Amino acid sequence: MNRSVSVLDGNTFVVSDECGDINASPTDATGLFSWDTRFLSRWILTVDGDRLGSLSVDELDYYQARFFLIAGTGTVYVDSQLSVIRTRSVGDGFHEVLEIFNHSDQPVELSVHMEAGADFADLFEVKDALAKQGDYHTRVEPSRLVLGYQREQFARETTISADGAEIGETGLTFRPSIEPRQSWKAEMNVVTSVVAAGARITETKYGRSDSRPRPNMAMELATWLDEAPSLVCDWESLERTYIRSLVDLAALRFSPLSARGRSLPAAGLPWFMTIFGRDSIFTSLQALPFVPELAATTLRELAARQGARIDDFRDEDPGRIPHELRYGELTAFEERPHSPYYGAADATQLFVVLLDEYERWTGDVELVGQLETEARAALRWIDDYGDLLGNGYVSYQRRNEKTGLENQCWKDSWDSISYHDGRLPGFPRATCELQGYAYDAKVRGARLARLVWQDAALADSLEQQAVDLKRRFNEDYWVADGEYYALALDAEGRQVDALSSNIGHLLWSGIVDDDRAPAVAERLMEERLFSGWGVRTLAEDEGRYNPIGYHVGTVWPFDNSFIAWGLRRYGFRDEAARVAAGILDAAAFFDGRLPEAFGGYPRSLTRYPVQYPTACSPQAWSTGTPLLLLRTMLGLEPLEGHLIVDPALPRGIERLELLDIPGRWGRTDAFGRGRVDVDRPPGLRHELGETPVTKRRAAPGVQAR
Amino acid sequence: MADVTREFFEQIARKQYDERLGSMRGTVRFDITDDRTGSGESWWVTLDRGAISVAEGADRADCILETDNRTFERLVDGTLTATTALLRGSVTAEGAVDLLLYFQRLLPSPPPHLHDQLHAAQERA
Repeated sequence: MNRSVSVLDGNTFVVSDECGDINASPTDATGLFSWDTRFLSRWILTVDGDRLGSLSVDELDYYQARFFLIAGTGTVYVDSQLSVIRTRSVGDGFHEVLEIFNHSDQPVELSVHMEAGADFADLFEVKDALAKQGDYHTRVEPSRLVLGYQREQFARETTISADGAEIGETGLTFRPSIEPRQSWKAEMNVVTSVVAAGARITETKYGRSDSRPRPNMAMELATWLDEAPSLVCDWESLERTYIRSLVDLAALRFSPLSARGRSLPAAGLPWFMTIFGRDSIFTSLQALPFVPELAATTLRELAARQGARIDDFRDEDPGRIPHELRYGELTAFEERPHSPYYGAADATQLFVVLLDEYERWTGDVELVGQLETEARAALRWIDDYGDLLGNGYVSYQRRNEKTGLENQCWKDSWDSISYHDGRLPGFPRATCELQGYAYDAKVRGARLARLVWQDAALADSLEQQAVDLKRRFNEDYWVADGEYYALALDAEGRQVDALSSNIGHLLWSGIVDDDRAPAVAERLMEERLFSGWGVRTLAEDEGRYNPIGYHVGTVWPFDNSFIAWGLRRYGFRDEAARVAAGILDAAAFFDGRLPEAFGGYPRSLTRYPVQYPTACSPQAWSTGTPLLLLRTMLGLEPLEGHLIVDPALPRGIERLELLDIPGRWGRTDAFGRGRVDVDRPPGLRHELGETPVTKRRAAPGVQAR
Repeated sequence: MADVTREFFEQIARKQYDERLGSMRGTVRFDITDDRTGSGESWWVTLDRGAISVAEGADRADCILETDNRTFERLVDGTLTATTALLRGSVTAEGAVDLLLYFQRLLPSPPPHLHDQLHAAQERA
């Protein structure tokens, strides 16, 4: 009974046990959540006073699950005359259909009770177990039960309704009589509502409080899949991974109140169904050749929330692109800074990068025109606020020392940035990839200034700054004796000299001098960084290396997708293909759903990728990873009105076709043929990467699945 | 009704233009109730690609915001952001909420001492 079952739509999700029941403790992450608030913490079905036992769970779709139950939580042998099916669909809250079958030859009279309770915990409270400051209320109305919470004018309500039920303060009771070999059915609606003074809240996607869950979700998913390019490949696993990615990306779509029904990628399930500047941008970049509209919404929504003030609590500066937005009680009452919080030192540069890449793919100059003000402000932020030390580099140091983030780069855990000997530098810290992103933002900003904003002076100046930044960077960050770029510069301008995966992002950004690129590619593919599955976050011979350390040795699929893109940018076709092969092989072990991270153990040691223990899944930028790897393998690059295709496939893929790729060309197809034919040993999993075939034969256990 | 509210709208009216408003176009109306007297006033603001115009009155608007004078005074002295006010329910919005996000750019930074107070609030939490 330990397995949890999740269904979701946007930022509304239900996490229950295998029976469909919710019995949450204050720190336990089960319940019905919406807008970062838990609207149900108890939802327990009993028949004649007894809980039910689980036979199986059918997770029909990301928004729907069906639980097959029997009366009596029996052990191995159950001789039950009653079986129960609960079908739950998430939409405005959720809709649940309860069906009970009487298998006996006698009529039965039952008491069916659904216990309901709500603690209205903020997501942050669930993680940290904090006490509530407002008041609860319960209203029993003719056909519904209303559970509510109020703190000043902050009000949240859960409305539970069902026809034919007796309504009590603690739940609903049905008293069905079921004839022999007959069944009985009841429907329940649980609706979450955000009630404000005057009941005047606008909810663009989820509709009014009395509405039922949207019935058209299955159709929406079909349309979504239909509109994405189709993939034809002789490697079955990649086809499965591709479909899994598209479906998960659909599940991760999130529509903020201001987006007028449009969606952007949220960061991950279940805790991160909200706008994250960095995650939403990276995922939009990965998905550009497949679903470009996600990028447009990401750009609009981040632009609308761009910093305009100086606010230490939120680490906000004018021009800064937000990091994370939350809707719960603690954010509303400023006990947490996420309204939004701005502590990211990369999202602002990446915003400009995405805007340019989006235009290159779609030709949507109109959006580039609409966001001119925000893009200019973002470019100014790099120099005016991002450069904390006045040394020409973007660095970070939080001003909110209580609840702000220490590390404001993608490796945001406490020990992610270290010297070779394992010491941690002080603040501010100027990690290398931030400079790469700044360089790329200036180069791309210059292109947009010339092309769309008709400002040649700005373009000239940005180009000059970019050239200057690249020159200085290649002097100051280059670790000459190791032939790689330092992870960061510390506050004194000294090199934080650990060897890390960050150097791969430098290739992606184009800040690497051409004559140094071969050394960087070589470092990435050496055994101390490349595990056989992918590039580790930190090299094995670094002081803080730990193969299961969050950012100090694990392999992150998303990280590798950008590294592969960077390798291709500098012409390292085989190396890019090897990285793609390793990650896509790993995906096969996870049924096509790549986790956030997996262990950095050498592939020859574990034979399978070891999932990182607390990783959230699906996570948006892991979901986007196979998409970007497809782009890099096929060598897709937009060039004015055309799409360049320059495939470099890993060994083992003979045929790869991506059909109906959307872009400024309308729709077009890309074809790739393998360079090397590999005979697949019969019965063995087909893998692309480099586990020697002889070893695989010696260990048949690996083939399971 | 407090002068602070009138002063704020007069000040943005005098400004006439703020480039930070970007390409946003639309009308925003604030319906502000005095929580002691119960009397109300309405302010109507047009944003047009940076250009700002202000009128008093309750004409139709793309985004209608309802609040009380104490909340509004906190918005215009920088001690409360529009987003948190909306989350708390002390401002309610109808229509195009994205206009409020842009309008928010006209509100000032918080006073420096506010950071310490917020820290105290977090300690309690």
